[in-house]
Amino acid sequence: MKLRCVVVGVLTAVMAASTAAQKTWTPPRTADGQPDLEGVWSNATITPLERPADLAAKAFFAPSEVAAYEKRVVENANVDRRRSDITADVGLAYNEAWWDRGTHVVKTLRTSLIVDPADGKIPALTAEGERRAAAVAEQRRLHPADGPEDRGLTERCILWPTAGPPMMPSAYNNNYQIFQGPGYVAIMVEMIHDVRIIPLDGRPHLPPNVRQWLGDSRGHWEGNTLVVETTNFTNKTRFRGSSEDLHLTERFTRTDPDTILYEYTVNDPATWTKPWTAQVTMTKSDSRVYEYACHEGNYGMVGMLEGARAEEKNSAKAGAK
Amino acid sequence: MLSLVALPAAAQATISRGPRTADGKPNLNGIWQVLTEANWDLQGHAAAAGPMVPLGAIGAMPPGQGVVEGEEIPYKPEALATKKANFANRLKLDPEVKCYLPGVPRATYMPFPFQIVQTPQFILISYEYANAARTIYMKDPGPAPVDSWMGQSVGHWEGDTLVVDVTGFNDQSWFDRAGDYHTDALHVVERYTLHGADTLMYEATIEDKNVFTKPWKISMPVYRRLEKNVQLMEFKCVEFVEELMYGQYRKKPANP
Amino acid sequence: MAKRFWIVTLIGAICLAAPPPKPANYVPPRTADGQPDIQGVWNNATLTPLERPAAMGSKAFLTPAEAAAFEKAAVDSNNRDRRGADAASDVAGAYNQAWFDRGSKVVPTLRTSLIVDPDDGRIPYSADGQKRMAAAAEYARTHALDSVEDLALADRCLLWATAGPPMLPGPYNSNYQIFQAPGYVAIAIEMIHDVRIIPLDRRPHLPGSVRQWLGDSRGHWEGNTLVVETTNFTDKSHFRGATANMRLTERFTRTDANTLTYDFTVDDPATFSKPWTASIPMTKAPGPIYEYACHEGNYAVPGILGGARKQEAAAK
Repeated sequence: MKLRCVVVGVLTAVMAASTAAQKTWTPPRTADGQPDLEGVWSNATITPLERPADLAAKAFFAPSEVAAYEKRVVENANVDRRRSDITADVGLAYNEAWWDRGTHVVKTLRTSLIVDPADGKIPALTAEGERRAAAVAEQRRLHPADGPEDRGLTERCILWPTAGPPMMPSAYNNNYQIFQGPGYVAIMVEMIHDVRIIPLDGRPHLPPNVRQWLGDSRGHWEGNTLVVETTNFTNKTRFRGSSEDLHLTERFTRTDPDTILYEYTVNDPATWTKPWTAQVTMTKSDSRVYEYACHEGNYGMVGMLEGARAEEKNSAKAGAK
Repeated sequence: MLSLVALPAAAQATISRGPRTADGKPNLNGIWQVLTEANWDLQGHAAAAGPMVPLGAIGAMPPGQGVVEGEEIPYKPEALATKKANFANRLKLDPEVKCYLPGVPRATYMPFPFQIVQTPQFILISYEYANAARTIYMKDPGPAPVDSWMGQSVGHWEGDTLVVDVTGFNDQSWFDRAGDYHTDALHVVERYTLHGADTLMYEATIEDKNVFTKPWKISMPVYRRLEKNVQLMEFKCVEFVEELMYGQYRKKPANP
Repeated sequence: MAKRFWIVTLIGAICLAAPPPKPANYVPPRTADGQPDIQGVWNNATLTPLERPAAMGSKAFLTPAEAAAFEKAAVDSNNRDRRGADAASDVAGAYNQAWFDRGSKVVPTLRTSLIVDPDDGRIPYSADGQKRMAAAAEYARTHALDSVEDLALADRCLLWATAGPPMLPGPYNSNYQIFQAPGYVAIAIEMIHDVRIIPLDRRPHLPGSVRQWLGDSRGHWEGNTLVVETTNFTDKSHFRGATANMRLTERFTRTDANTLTYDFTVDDPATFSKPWTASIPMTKAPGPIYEYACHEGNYAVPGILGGARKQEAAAK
């Protein structure tokens, strides 16, 4: 038991200091001397962003616990949810045939993606952050489907959490392809064929009046770690409720041939009482990135809005009786 | 100076791409076009929906990093209010909608090519858009005899830079589709400098004491159109706005 | 109006006059790249009409005396007091030389038409051409002001006769400025700030599917004459009834320091029984060329059409 804790403790120390420490494994270099991050990567994982309540005191899994945990989570995701009536059936019918959340915890064996704060949970909201969140929730409650603007960004085919940034694992297609050329790192995100082209030449950000869904990114290398600073978000992107003043710092370090340690720090004093940091391990994939033509096939939006309009009509008729 | 020896026909027909003209000046002859989004909005701007829903993405405003040095146009406060009102009402007010002459410097950064025909005494710039045109006088003819949309252009060389002083504007044109405007006090000074054989660096300093608190400057590269046999084509858009402007006067079919 | 002048002239004419002698052989200066220099501001206003008026019969040339008399009569007539009995006819007829600039001289050759071939000085319409012209006239008669498309191209601020091509003098502003640079001749036309940029490098014309109001021009030098071939016309400009397949050949020769002789040949078998040629002298002018912002100041179209609609409403 003690030895295991020591092993885990050492592992933690090593991983936590990943940004500063020189790894024993040295990544190869691209033609222009950048540490090589190229290839197709997946960040699918069953590890949640925040530490689950029933693991509150447990920062890491012991290696022996992992297999059982993974088995339990995967089985749960595939449980037979069919009910007696068709409506509930359609609503709940999705299982792993449709999802691809992954089957493994992160390689760090942490019980949450969040590494700081130490409790593995997003820090408290500021008063303004709470106000904003409440206003958004109220808006959603009153206007669930007046128009497309009321629906989520994924349903509108505008932005997926896999793109972010930060680039969070999601329901499926957690795939990325990284390309490097002199002075640039480009990350092609499968959903929704977003490409983050990150210049490395130290140029200034876009002017503050220019706002973008994926913000505006600038990168530089610190040793073998690519550090990317992103600003200029819109006030509609709202990562976990963030404001347009979000300042995001991401760090990419290739720790072995099949792993990139992806770490991000969220800094948004208008929303959270302190910055918070999460880590996801990205695993080399031997697959390809597919075209995700979301908007071109967006029958869902039409169905939802037409359905909402039909429901309104029905309840108006019912009320008129 | 002029040769009285008849040159062979081939020599007369060769389009010169040499760096200098026969009179020793930088050779600006050719067909040029900018690649910026300045015509939508001189200032940096994110992409945005357009004013016409049926046009969808075709009518949307593309993003631009901006071409204004210092990023912001120095409007007087009351003039800024006018610019905003212009923008809110741009479908009705932007002279480009009606195929009116674009003025200077907007003619330069319309998303269409223009051709420079350079002679020692005059430099002609012919714009594909609305066949707008202007003649740059290399010898100052005196004050403009009358105000006009394209102004009166007087040019001189400062080293290898063509400096063009434009005055005599009326107050009718806009600088872009975002409502940036001027009065008849407008004064523009342009600078054209070759940057390698196929690029022009273009700058324009704009002043109008009725609208801006101080002069301000835009700059952008202009690229040579290199396609084989490239030429300006006609974009006579007056015909395309007749329904918009005169459709209300169309005779209605008789009702039985 | 034309008939009256020529009858006045006919009274003074007894016999055919001989054409004046050809100008002496003039060698133009050269541009830096060796082109004969035709640059500058030119004006082609003239009192000579394109076609010989019917009343002139077979008279190809005026005598100098006839020409002088004609010129005086034309200028007097243009400036006569047209004021009518009431305000309405007054406004309709009030234009005089203060508004126009038709020129004050006939062509120096004293020919009775700008057309030099055929000999009768008239456009040689084919039977088909005449039929089409008659149909167009009939349509215009019954649909004079239904919509803007029924108005003249000049009134719509789309195209003036001074631009053409061919470039015919107009009621005013018959001004042109020519620029030459290696491999190009550019003709800036005052109305309506059209610029014809003519490449000299023997490149092919635009594809047949591309049609332009001013066609598509290609030039080359033959000795001291610039020869310009123009094709790719639209089916909307109908120069004197021609179709979109019209082929135009223009020839510019600087015949003295102040004269650019401009000849053009029109070839359209669907409209004319044979090609026909005209010659107009262009005279050096002091300039400058002014901006003719036609469309921007086009109050006439809303006035004409709005007025027509009001008349119809009043008639009901």
